[in-house]
Amino acid sequence: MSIDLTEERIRQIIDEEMKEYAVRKRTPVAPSTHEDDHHDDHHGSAWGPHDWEHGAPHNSWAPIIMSFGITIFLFSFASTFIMNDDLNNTIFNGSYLPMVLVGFAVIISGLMIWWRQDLSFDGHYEPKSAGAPFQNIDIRKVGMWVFLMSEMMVFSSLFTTYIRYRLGTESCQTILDNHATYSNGLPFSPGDACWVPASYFIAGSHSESWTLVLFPDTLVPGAINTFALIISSFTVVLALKTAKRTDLDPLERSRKVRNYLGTTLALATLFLLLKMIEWFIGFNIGPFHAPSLLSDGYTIHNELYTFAGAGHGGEHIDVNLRLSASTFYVATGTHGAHVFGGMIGLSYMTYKAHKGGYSPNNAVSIEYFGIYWHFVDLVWVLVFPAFYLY
Amino acid sequence: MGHTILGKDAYNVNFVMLMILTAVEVGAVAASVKGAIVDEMIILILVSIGAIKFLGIAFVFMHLRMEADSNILTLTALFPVFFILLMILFIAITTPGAPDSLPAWCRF
Repeated sequence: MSIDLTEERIRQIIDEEMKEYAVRKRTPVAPSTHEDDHHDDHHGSAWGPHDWEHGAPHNSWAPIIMSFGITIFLFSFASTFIMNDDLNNTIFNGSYLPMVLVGFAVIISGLMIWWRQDLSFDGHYEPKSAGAPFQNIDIRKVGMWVFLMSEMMVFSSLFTTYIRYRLGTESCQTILDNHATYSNGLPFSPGDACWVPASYFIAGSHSESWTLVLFPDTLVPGAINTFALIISSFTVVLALKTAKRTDLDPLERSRKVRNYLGTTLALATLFLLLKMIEWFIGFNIGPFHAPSLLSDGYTIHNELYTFAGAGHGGEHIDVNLRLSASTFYVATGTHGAHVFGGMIGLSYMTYKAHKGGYSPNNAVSIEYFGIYWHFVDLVWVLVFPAFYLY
Repeated sequence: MGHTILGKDAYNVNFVMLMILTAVEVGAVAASVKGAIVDEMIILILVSIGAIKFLGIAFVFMHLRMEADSNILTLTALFPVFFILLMILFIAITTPGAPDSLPAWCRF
């Protein structure tokens, strides 16, 4: 039997095959029967990479393992640092440290499984939401927004706590202005709680050095951090825009996306480093001198801080800082923990970009991460003036 | 993608605006520490700039405007506002002195 295959006919067959392949790749396969599930080995294991050529993934152990790890980590971490009997200092309880490490290891294992499965994802079978009111919106996008709703509640609780205490606790400066007397005329006793905002140490009259003339040295880390987060929000946007560009060579596109995500990661690292310097280390670089909040005595255990305030010469009162310091550290620490979480995600995404994992058809992961990252930036936009400047 | 503000790329405009506003914020606080701005004014400046930056990030960077699904996602984002208002209400009524210092129009 002879087959007449001209060059034109061969091209036609290849074109038809390619079109069919493209359609097949973009169309989710029909739900398989239970019998198929038992015999279908195309979906890959719940532990490893999915076979995306044969359908959407069905299962993954990653979320349950990560939840389990986070539970172990948080319970054991909370028991590692406990209060002493007088409730005025923290005791390090090393016996829980192994469990902290176990929890951390389980979290890392869950992340590895998740990333191993995601690394092969090339943008096909992006599931859509079916339920009202989110029909036809990518389900991962809806999931991210629902997650951010809960995050808003967390930060709202912290902010309302701050507002409540700030409005309900008399300012130490006011008490000092009244010569150790509350506004209602009652005398102030040493060790009483009053409000000393963190800005007193960071951007207030307590600031020791003014190298820049314009603002105190102690404000430098917070100011740099604010700019760093805004720039990092922009670099995520640039990574997304670049990943969607079709006019670039795939290699060049991957390199640029990796660089933008890597820059975001570097800025996030800078943010946390400066926060550590501001809290614990302080800095003494060239003309810039700023002690840490720790060395200034702004701690959650300080019940007798010598508050000299502004405009009173040698006059001072001994105040309890626990309330104002706790509010500051919990709010900014929670925000810092979110930055750290973002850094973990960014590390993986930078690696995936390096491997060429993002393309115009597969850029939504950057968009969804970007929504989270912008939210972290957005919270800082409120934290910075509320805690650092006012 | 391809969104614009005043004919320029929306993301670039938003980024520049955020940088400038942050510089103004820090500058205003520095002026306040030196006594050039009164306390009430610095609160007004910080709240106003914070609100503008908040909207810029939410609407442009987080795509709560300019996208097909922006409206429903904006409503989703606003859902917690009810609870936030509830919390603020309780802050107001539990603040020391609040029962005695309510303005007349609040009283029955």
